[in-house]
Amino acid sequence: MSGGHVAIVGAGPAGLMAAVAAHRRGAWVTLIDEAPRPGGQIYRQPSAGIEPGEFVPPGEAARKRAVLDAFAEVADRIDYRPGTAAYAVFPGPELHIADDEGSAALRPGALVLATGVSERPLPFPGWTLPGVMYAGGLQALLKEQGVIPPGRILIVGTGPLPVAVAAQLVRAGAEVAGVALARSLRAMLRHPLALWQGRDILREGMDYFETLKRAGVPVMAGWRPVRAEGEGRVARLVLALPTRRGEPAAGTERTFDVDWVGMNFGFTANSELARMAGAATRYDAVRGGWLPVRDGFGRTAAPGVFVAGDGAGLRGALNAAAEGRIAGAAAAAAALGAAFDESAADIRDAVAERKRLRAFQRAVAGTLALPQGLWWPVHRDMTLCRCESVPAGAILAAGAQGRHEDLDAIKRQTRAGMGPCGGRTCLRAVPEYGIDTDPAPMRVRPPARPVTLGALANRRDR
Amino acid sequence: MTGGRIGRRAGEPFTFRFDGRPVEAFAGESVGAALIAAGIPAVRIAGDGTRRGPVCQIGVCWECRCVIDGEPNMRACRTEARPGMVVETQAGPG
Repeated sequence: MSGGHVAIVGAGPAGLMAAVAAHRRGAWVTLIDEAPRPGGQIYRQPSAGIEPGEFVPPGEAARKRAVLDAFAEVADRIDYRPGTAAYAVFPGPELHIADDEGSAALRPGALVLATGVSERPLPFPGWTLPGVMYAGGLQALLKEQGVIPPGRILIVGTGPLPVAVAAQLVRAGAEVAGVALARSLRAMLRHPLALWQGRDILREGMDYFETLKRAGVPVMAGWRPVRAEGEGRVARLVLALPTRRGEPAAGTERTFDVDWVGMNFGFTANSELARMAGAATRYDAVRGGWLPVRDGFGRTAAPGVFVAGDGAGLRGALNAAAEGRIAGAAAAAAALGAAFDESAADIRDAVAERKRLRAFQRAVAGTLALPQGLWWPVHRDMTLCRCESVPAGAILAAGAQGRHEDLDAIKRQTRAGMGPCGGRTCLRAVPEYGIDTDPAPMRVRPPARPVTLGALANRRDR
Repeated sequence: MTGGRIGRRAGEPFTFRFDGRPVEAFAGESVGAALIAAGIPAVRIAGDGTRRGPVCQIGVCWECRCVIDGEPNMRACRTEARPGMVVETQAGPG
């Protein structure tokens, strides 16, 4: 079936609003999402039976409600498939999906990929110790499970997320030992007009700082993790102020006794499916690494394949919702064989919203850029590929030998990136080392997500 | 010590076993969340012999893979806890 059929991957703000927009324009919508409930990462909902309480600002709660309410109005009139992974896209577009029991191929008239981002860690000696987690991971644990890791938590990273997570943890009753930011958020103040355009979100940020100040949680700008220590689990995190080269400045080391660490050094776009579909990519170190190239309506170079939201470049949840409205409508027109009316009132609204938010996001981007020398703590004997336990030295040597016409060569030579995470962590680090500043992305082969052989054998489309 | 569960839970607590010891959980909780609430951060031993535990909490990093009711490579963060479940540390590929 393809006449008027739009398939959407991802049920965060971009995918949910794309589903609403495509349904409103008369398309038959299939929405695929790995999670059991709609919302994605930022608008994550609690698991059934758990009420974690409220620790996000009223503004964010209202934005989340607006997206989930809009989706709830159409949810029973579309084909919504939670708990389902999209593991391959072939020309057509042909989308392959699988859940725990079976798999199937869909052949929609148009496909919207709203796959979001994953967190980017900063590898440092000891970063594989249990208890060292991602800051957004701690937030997911809080929002979905109503659980705070017991004991002292230290948050490290860049950009606005570490501060938000630390404040939410404090409001929920956690013991946060401190927040160490590699770069001061003051860089944003250089863009007063942009900040005015994002003033509602900015106010929430100021409230987060206020929460931390009242709780006596130090926010340290310019500090970086040097190493984590502990036997079988993290017990201490050592921070230092860096020299210009990135080395810890003599005499600046500070040791924190901790039970847990939450780190976030930006994000990596989940662009695997778009790349597999044949979308062209460009490398953007700040907005998520390998980003699919698209036009103003989300169209990629792959016929019938659209992208929307942070997976096409990190700009936040509000922008993702606006992009979803645009791409969903454009995809519906493509699937229905209808002309796309760019001047329709709802499209003009969404385009104006996107424009307003982009200025603000440009100011935020300055705080996400990794400071020079940030990768200094990566030692040669330190595990960089966590899945396959490949030391950093092996990966760097493979790159430095000049046999890295693409990242696939490094992958073949070292096994880095062959594990179940798909190289999201270790191979993203390669361009950051300055080995290759504009590397071609890894070739993506199915399955883009691990799928059981049982599910592959049980085909539901035959 | 601060931390653990916040807000409200529906229903009564139950237990599952992790490497033989009882761990408390409530309906709707993931195995990983119940372990973290109990202060347990490690669920597997990697190929290099080091202990590993939950990192991303969204099913992407696979560091929380463990053996659940005899099945290896189950992600603790994506598996709902059930009464009487037997969860074990996974060594190597499982």
